[in-house]
Amino acid sequence: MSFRPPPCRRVTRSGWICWVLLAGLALLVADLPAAAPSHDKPSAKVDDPGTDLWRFVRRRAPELRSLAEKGAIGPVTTQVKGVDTSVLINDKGQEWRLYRHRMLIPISAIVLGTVAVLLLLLYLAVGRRVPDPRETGKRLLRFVAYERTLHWFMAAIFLFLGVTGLTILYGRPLLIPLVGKESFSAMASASKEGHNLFGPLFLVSLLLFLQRFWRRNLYSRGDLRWLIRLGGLLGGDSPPAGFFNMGEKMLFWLLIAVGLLICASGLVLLFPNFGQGRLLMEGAHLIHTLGAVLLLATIMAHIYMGIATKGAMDGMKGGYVEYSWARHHHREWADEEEKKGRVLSEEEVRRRFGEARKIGVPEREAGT
Amino acid sequence: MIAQLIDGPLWLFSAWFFLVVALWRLLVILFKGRPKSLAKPRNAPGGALATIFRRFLPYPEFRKVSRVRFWAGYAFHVGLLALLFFAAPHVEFLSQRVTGFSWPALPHWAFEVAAELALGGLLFLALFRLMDPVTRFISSTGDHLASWLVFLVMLTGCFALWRSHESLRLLHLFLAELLLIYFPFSSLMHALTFPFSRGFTGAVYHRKGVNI
Ligand code: HEM
Repeated sequence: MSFRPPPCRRVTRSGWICWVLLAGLALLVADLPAAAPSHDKPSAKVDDPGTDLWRFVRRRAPELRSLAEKGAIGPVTTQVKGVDTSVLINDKGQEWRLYRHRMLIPISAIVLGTVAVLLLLLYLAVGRRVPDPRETGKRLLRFVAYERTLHWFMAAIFLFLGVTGLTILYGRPLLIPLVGKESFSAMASASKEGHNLFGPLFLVSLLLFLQRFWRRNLYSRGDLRWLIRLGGLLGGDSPPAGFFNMGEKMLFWLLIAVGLLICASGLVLLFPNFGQGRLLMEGAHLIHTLGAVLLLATIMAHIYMGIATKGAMDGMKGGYVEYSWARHHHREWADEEEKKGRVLSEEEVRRRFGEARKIGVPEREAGT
Repeated sequence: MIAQLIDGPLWLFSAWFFLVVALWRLLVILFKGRPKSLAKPRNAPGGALATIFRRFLPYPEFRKVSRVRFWAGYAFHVGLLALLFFAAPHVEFLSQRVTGFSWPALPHWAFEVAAELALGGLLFLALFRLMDPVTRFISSTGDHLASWLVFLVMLTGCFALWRSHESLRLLHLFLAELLLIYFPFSSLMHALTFPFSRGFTGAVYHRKGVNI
């Protein structure tokens, strides 16, 4: 059986209140869109008189551009000073729109969907059968409270950004048929606000994570061997690894590099008031979305590994891991810790968690 | 129907409920009195005010270990205070429904900065409460509930930032009303009791000759 840190204190009356409140909230959210007047009625189709004019202008745009390039006509000027103010119609905008609709949305959905289905199948076929680490009664401290908090802080922000971002990306084709236009409109607006607010927090979490973990993720001897043997997939037993194995190190640096790219491109989109033109914004949007899809797929695999590698989550939940797990997955680190005399007994760990009653300390003394 | 309820009677009920029950709890604490101190006085009466202010900083011994929590705590509390009383929609709401007069609101960029600080700070602290064995041990379910309820109120407030959708505003208002009702029963009462508890501790120890 795997070691689990003791749960929060008993479920009290407030626990029940919490559940009742949550249920009430769910009902309320389901009902709220109906509280506001619905605009979901089919709209009457009225031809826009400007459409033909703009179509004509756009058709002539390349012709006028080439004439201007040849010097046959003067450059387009305007008295309004600002970025792109002399551009009457930006053809690239249409290209970007089509690219978003015809390539980005369907292809990214296929990639993310395929990864999710493959991981699910892998879990059903192999992952859920992975045995718990052998119980030795010995534990090692893997992550201190600050590190665990930082991991879940970053994970919560990342997942929130993922959900809100995907709502914005796939909302029209996927959610409108499910929840209707009125509700989707509210969801999209909330997602946009939430996404914009949590974006900068993701940057902060990335930088804090980098500052804390970069040293442990530097390349060390033996990492290449681990990679060549795909962490034990080829050739049986897990190859020896230090605190982090090469797979985790690759995840770390990918997360930092692509994460920073996503943040930088996000800031270009978030602050359009620094003189960047439309072209740059379209480029930033592409980088932002492609980077996000890449990271989302990678993190799905990471979550699979976190759940399927029995015993790994103990380290990220309570900080301590079973000694046999550490020996199996991070042999060099476990041996080093043992040499330093840092192996603890299960009782000692329980005591540190304040589960005093379980090991027989009277309640008063334990401060309960 | 539900919209009118949230915007009307439920708002009135929760606001009055909060006022009456919180005041009642404060009065009970203040009038409870305290057992007579048998210790020989070593100082003239005083010391309350100094402790109230000294407690805004951690003890020097804990300054290093609690550095991140200190900054996260300040980010959250300062951000929340700024949002609560100086966000433009709140100024409008409070002036129309509570005070009858208005005051200057934060510009939009400052609102966003305050929201980042408050949300980031509280998320970090709420997770730390779960992750640290000591804070987890001394926290009750009610403490966790209070943190996450405040978080949800702030989050839905940000969802409703541009007031583009009535349903989002109502969701935020509804959660704020739940918070007002829960407030007097929870550890959130520290927002009102902290000067008294600090002052009391300061005065008692000062009398005994210790300045803490
Ligand atoms: C919500 C589901 C998640 C689960 C179950 C999970 C699980 C874990 C576990 C068990 C570890 C420790 C592995 C070890 O002991 O070596 C870990 C580490 C890590 N996690 Fe997660 N995680 C989740 C989400 C995320 C997210 C969303 C991100 C990124 C945004 C992330 C980034 C990382 C990184 C970078 C590490 C450390 C790897 C290194 O530094 O080399 N995790 N995770």
